[in-house]
Amino acid sequence: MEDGELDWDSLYADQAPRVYNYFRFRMGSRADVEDLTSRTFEKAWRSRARYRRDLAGFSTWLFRIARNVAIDHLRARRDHLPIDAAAEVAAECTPERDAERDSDLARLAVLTARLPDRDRELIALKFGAAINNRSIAQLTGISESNVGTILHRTVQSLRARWRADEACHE
Amino acid sequence: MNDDFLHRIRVQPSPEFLARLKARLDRQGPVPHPRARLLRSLVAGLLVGASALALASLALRGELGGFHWDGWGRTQVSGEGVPPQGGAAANSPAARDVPAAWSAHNPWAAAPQPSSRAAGRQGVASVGPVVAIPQSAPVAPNATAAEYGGGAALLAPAPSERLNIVVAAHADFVARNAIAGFVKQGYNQPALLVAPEGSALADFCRGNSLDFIVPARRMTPAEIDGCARLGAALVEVKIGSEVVVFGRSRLYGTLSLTPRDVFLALARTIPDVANPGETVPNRNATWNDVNPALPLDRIQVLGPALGSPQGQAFLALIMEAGCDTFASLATLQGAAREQACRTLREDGVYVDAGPPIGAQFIQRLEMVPTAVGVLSAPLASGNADALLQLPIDGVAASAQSVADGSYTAARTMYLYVNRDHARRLSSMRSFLLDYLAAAWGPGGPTLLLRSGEPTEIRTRALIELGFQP
Repeated sequence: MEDGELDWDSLYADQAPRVYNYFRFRMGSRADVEDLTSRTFEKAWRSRARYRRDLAGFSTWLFRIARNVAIDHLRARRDHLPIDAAAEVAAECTPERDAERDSDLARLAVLTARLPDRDRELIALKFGAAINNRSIAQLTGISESNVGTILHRTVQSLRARWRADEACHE
Repeated sequence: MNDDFLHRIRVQPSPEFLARLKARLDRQGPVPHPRARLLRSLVAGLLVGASALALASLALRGELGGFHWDGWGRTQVSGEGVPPQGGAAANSPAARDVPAAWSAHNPWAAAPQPSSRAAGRQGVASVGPVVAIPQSAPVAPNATAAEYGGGAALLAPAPSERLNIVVAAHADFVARNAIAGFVKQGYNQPALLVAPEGSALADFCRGNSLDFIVPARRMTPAEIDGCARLGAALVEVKIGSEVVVFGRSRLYGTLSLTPRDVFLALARTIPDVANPGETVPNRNATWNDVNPALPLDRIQVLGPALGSPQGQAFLALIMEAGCDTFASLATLQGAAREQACRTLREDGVYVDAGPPIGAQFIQRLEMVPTAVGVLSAPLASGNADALLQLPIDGVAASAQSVADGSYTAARTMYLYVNRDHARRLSSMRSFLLDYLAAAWGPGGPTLLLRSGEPTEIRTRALIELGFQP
């Protein structure tokens, strides 16, 4: 791969918002997002001479790095959090939950907290990183049809719970 | 509420953060050229090996600087290598496998073959000769006949040889593209007439000066017979079908639409239910507003530019068809019809997403799962894993449903060639091939479903006209 063949400045401009939003969706909060985005690009930049276009599109390659950064971060975070500190989805409206719903992002984090890690990852890749199903399949190793099925089911579920959540606050 | 909530959560990172990160990345410096790294490694390896060998021989000889060494020494060499290739590199389109520029707000079979008709015996009243309309600025040429082995004229054209071509309005774009390619080969500029709506096709055969005609519909046997009686024996070439297909991401399942639904969704003004004969500004926001049988999804249609051949096909085959379902609008003509039937809302429900081709169009549809795309037939069938084709009037588009007429959002394009002229005018073979190439090529109506393989269609047409295929 010839380094000179890619316009790295343009790639950065295109990809940085996607990586940033991937981490927002994945982590469910604004904390750490800038740090994780930075780590991803620094790793990518250090190794960009090894990028081979014949093996993967640039965004696929970059998001492999981003996913690894996310996995490392979550693993480190879990190691230090007590098990009962995990967010819980409200089964009913309570004043305690109101305090958490100060933004759509926080609300999404609450709603996705009980989803399997794989489903949260797919949501983050699809809606945060704005990646199509084919590329998600390449990144995750899940078949493309399964990606579509899981996303369909997950989004339906989120939509219903989001509406229910809104109804609580009307 | 729809699933926009997931898209709304995306934000643009702060410019300060992006600038800080970029500055940090730039401080890493340009990455050495991979070959430079390899060369450096090789040089380092050779030097290490040579040094090791030298030290080993000294050790074996038991001397180095007057001391006896029984160990190995190593020297590290950092070579300069080949300077990296950097600087402002050309932006490689293939590498930019990325979505369109970020925006925080993102709304988003083989048909039966044609047969030429026999000459008839009907008489027709006489009218004036064909009048040529001056050409507009030439458009970018598409593939020329050269690609099909027919580029050069079989015989050198006579200096006065000039083709007379009549086309319906929807074929004007393709004809001009064909003419541009034709003229570039050195032929005289043809005389092109865009037939006024409602013209009697047989009238263009008077004086037997017509060489090619691309009508708005298939000529009837009576019209073909009429031309033959006027001396213009026409050979019919079925180019293919313009087919408008709707599709959307598989994420949200199918949506059964009719042209009337689409008209009520997208037209700038729609009939006022309370006052028949009057129209009101279109305020429909969801498909359910248009038709209670449809879901509450927000109306969002990604389609081609309305001035493009694809856009014109969409306006004719869907919008006008939907408009015609209203008795008060079906009888409109001219400017009034254009206003009522072919003018879309400008409040963002219809988005010009460029030509409905390629991965980028698919990506845009996937980013807005509730959006409906106006697709080309090849795009829809080639991406069935990502997209669901939506039926129109309950019928899915296929070669068969287009051929038998059950799929209504389609029109078949025919080209008629004056056979006797083709045998005399050497340039006609070239123009025929240029026209077919333009109709099928990138500048043509990409909604086109061909009536067969290009080679077959061309060969059959050439043989019928007496040309060498």
